[in-house]
Amino acid sequence: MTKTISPKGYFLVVTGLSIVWLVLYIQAQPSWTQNIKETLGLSAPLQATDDSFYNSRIDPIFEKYCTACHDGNKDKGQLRLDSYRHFTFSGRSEADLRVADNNLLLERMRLPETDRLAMPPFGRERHTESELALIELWLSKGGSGELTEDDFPEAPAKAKVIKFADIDWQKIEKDRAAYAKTLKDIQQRYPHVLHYQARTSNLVVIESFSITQQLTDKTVSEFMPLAPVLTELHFANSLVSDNSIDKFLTMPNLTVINLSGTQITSSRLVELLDLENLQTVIVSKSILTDEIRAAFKQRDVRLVSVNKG
Amino acid sequence: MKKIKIWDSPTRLFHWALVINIIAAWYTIENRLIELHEIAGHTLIALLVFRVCWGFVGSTTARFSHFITHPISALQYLVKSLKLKVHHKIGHNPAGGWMIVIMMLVIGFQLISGLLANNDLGFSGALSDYVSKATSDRLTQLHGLNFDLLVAIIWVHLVAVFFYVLVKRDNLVKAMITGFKILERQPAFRLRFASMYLAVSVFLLSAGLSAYLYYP
Repeated sequence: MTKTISPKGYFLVVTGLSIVWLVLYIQAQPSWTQNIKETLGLSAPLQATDDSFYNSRIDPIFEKYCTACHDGNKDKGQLRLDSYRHFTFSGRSEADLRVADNNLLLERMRLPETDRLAMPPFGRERHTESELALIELWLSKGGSGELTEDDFPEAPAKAKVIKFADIDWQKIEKDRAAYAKTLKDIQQRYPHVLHYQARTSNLVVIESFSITQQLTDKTVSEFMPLAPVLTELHFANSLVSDNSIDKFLTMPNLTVINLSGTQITSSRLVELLDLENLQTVIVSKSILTDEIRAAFKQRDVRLVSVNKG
Repeated sequence: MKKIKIWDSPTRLFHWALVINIIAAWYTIENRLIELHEIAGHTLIALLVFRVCWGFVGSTTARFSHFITHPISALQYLVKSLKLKVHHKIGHNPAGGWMIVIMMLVIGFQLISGLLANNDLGFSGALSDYVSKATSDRLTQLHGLNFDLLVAIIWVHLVAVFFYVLVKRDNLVKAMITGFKILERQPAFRLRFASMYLAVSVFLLSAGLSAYLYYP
């Protein structure tokens, strides 16, 4: 026969059990307890320092392979790997992921990719062995959010990431617009001679290979409406003379000029050094003197001499 | 003292099948057995649909009309019951009736959200193609959160049941197993029990709906 107990006694037991259950539930939510501690000033904010090994080397690995399913939007298994703070909270397993021995995260990442419990799951992009080794190395030193790269001299060097600046196509189009019609007119007169330096540039290059023997000082005059946007002039073996020097000096964006095999003499060559953006000048070796070489060297403009144009 | 039949077999089978399947659903998802979790879910769909239908066409004590009372009345009963001033002995008591409704709604949401959920690993609920991926993801989260709510409700249910068992000395667990209770006298109203043929028919229809969702 069931022994009767009083309502008061029963609800005392129920309250006790409910409290135990509630405490266990809250303990299973480490983020709650940490927030409470921080709010009460019992703990410093839990986060990795900016220059930490975690931020520079570990977080990018998690970001690449894990956070699609383990971030604030989808905390699969109640595990978030989108920050050091959440990493320390672990997941539903409640295992301390900062401890290297028997580390559940590593165990799951080491499983064959077709294993039911493998992480990342089969079909997803998978980490490399070196990335896994890096995580193991970090955990072997305590899974700290404060240790920096200097504390991990044995870690392989970080791969360099080359980032290209965003291309502002509208700006390029706008910059080109001012000289677009003039360029088109001259291109019709001199096909295959003028072109933009690059798809991302509004500056123009002149390649005179197809008109070498027709390219005179007068021809240069025809290019002058484009003077502000000319950046490279390849006039090798043409009939250009010292008379064009004044015209070249009105080209503020000129960076490269090839005058080898032309009628340019040494008398006015150094005047080109007045061009602020000039970087390279190619001329015939026969016209160079020590004074010219010294002047170019002093101005740090590359002077290339060739025997023939 | 008379031994009176209170619960029909279909209601009792439903109750314990529900318990087993909720435990199975929890165990399978905890162990990443998603295919078995889906089967447990579809079994629960069949059970819940059956119970809703049984609430309209089943035996007296299984019918909604028998145990759903005005909420105020249910609250008043609850207060009196806690003071041991009243003892409802046949079928669900007024407070318990509302607990049944709430539990069915929470389980219902759990099942619908499960049908629309996905696990990002190749599994999608039977109806998840009818909503966007973002909605499916959101419902997957709610599916997990709603389970916590379900656990809390189950806890309250157990507290109430054992209040009857330990304090009021009314063994509801035994009654839900055997279907019988020992009462001092016959109930004031006649208890009608629906036939097993009807129960089987209703369950087959419910199971058919669930199977249709499982094998689209």
